[in-house]
Amino acid sequence: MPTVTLFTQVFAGLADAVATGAGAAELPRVVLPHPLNDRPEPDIRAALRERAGAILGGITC
Amino acid sequence: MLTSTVEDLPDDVEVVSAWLHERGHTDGLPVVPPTRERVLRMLDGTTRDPAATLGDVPPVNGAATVEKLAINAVMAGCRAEYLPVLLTSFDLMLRPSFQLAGMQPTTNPLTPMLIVNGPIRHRIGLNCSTGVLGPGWQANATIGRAVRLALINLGGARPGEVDKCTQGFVGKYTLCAGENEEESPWPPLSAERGFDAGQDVLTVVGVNAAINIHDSSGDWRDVVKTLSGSLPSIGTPNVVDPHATPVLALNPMHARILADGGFDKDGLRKHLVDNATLPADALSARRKHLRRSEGEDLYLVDGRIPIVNDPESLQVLVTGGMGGGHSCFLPAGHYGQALSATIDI
Repeated sequence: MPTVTLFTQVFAGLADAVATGAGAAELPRVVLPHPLNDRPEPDIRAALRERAGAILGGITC
Repeated sequence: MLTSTVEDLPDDVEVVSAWLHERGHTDGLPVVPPTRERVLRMLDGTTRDPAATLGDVPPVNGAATVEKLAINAVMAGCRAEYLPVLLTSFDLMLRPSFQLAGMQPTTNPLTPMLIVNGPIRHRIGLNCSTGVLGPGWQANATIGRAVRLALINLGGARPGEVDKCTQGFVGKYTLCAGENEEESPWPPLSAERGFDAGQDVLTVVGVNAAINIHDSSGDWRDVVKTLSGSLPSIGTPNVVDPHATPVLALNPMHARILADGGFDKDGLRKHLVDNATLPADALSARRKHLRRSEGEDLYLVDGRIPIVNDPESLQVLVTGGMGGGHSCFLPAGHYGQALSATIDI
């Protein structure tokens, strides 16, 4: 199944470790700004819109 | 036959500790150099094959072989007779229902708490009495430390890198206690969990830092009132995680006062779930959202939030000394379950 993993900046090292540990070091990953969970929805949408190309690229590569 | 890589280093605490620390293989404290001779002596504590694997430790999935766990036990300062407790802890923590994969990287200050029942407590000198959750006893200190070192070295849970715990807490260095079965008025935790009294049993449960609960009254009404008022805390994870298995660690004096008042463990748990509650409107919008995602309506008691949704989820342990009216509550919330198994050599 095509998969892309999204995470915020402070979890980048963790995402790398988990992907590698799962034998999926090449898993497509997209980094979002941190923090995100306390931001207004328009800010979150904007952050995702900026990365839409990378997200689509990740699930279609 | 040992299979681990051997480095050419002197058998010197300072040199080996510095070498391992630079590579992220310690908890920040000096370690005992895990020489081949010390690891072989450690392996005398078990009949298991050193090459046998207990499973992969998430999230980086290093293999928890008996040999690798013995190496971490040496580093932590364990005696060989402690090794079966460490091995059993990984037998349990690597079961999917413990959710170690969620515990290792979480921002929540969670750590595995080891609770030991049975004669092994006396055989290995595991403290169950005064100061049980504090310093001073080699078995308590080093078994819990070996767990943490192995979680770092085999699971990759290096603080700040993979272990994203926002503040951490000192229990992440070590947290291993025996139940004070001899001074408890009730059957041991292990018996409640389906084992025969007298069996050597380990229970592993994920917990946060302990909240001290003090009441020196000799009246059960006072003690149960103080417990009911102390356990509910609006910011604890178990308030929004109805599957949590927090631990109420009663000192033997409180336990006897409650038993004299007619409580058994089941009755106490039921009373606390019914009475140790919070007003539903005390939750912030964010925490309401979290709780709602777990089915908020299912877990209200008379419109109020209980500390756990099911009395069975509250693990009641009797531990510590008789010197004062101090018990503690260790909140929890990581979607994993408390698990128990016999400790076999």
